Amino acid sequence: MRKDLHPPVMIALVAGVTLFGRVLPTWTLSLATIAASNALIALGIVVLARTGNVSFGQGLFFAAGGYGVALIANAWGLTDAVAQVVVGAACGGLLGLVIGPLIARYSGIFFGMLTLALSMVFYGALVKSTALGGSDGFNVGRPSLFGMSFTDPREADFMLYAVSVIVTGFAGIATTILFRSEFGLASLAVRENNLRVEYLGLSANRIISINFLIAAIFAGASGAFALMAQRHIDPQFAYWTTSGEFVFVAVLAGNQSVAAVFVASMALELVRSFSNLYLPNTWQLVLGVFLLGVILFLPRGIGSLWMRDRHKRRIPATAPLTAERGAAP
Amino acid sequence: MQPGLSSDVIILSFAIVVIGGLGSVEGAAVGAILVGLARAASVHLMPQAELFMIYLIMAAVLMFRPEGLFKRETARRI
Repeated sequence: MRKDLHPPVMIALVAGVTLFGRVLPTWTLSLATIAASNALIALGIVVLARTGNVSFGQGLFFAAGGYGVALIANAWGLTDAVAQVVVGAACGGLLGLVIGPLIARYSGIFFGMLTLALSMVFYGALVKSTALGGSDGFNVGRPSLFGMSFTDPREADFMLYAVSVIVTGFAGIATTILFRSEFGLASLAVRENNLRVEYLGLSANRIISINFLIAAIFAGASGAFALMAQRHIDPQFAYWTTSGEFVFVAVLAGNQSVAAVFVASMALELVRSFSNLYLPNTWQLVLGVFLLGVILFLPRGIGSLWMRDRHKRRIPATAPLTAERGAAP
Repeated sequence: MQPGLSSDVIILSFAIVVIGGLGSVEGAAVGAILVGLARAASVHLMPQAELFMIYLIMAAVLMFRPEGLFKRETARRI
């Protein structure tokens, strides 16, 4: 008997969280928006990590989504928030469609470093391009929703919060369904042993490419959210420290539970803003100790808090979120 | 000298190790020489490409040798 949540329950949960934003104070609202946007891109990394590959260059798709949306918004006056998310996801997805099959044959650290290299090359190109504002980037207008424009900052914040929570929530539901599907289980098998998967008649490269595409789409949509929240874009979107932060959310969450990604993202943002507030000079120290604590006491991520028992029964002894496919002795 | 120095060094050293091949000492030496020379050359000839020269070298090497220049053959579990 499975105790998993059913999709309607999950949809109700998303609606509940969205309406809960009505009673939240403004500062929590923008914090939650950023947390949801980070959770979306970290979710993509988790999807990819289930095949055993960790991408250190999700900033590439993050920036591609952000820049794509920003350029289209400025050129054609596209301000609708939902349309912007779709455009961002499309930009990230198109790039992922090209890059995914090319790097699917790499594994472990080679995969990670290659994705990092691609994002850094993109960063370098953005910094040098004067047409896109170079290292300063450029501004975009305020987003609207279905023809409504929001002049009250509180309403605008809530609109952004609602859109990001709903999109991230539905991405989470889709990912949960994916994890339970045959394809999701095949992805786990690729991490365990890609040769055996090939013997079964499945293409490991194809599985990795599709997961990579999903991660790229999520990253592009997340880039659109970051753009809408900041109303400004610069090459920092593609820098490797940006990507590293998302990998950190994914490592904190572990790769067993989708909900853990949201919890990890929110926890990271809360710890960051509170330590920033009370310890302005040593907030990195607090953040570092928090991360160390989670890694020490929950080596398989926050998700292992509630996934432990069931996971043991169904899929025995999976490795923690490390990229160690191939070259095993 | 600055506290954030480590982040520049770690990327550089990872790139060198990946170019040379994991677990290979001579690979790391060759990778370091390759990256060092390429950066120096690009500063001299094409300063605007200096920022991503390391990554271009790494991508080029991995394109032809997916596991680095000096990959040792290891048995793997099937």
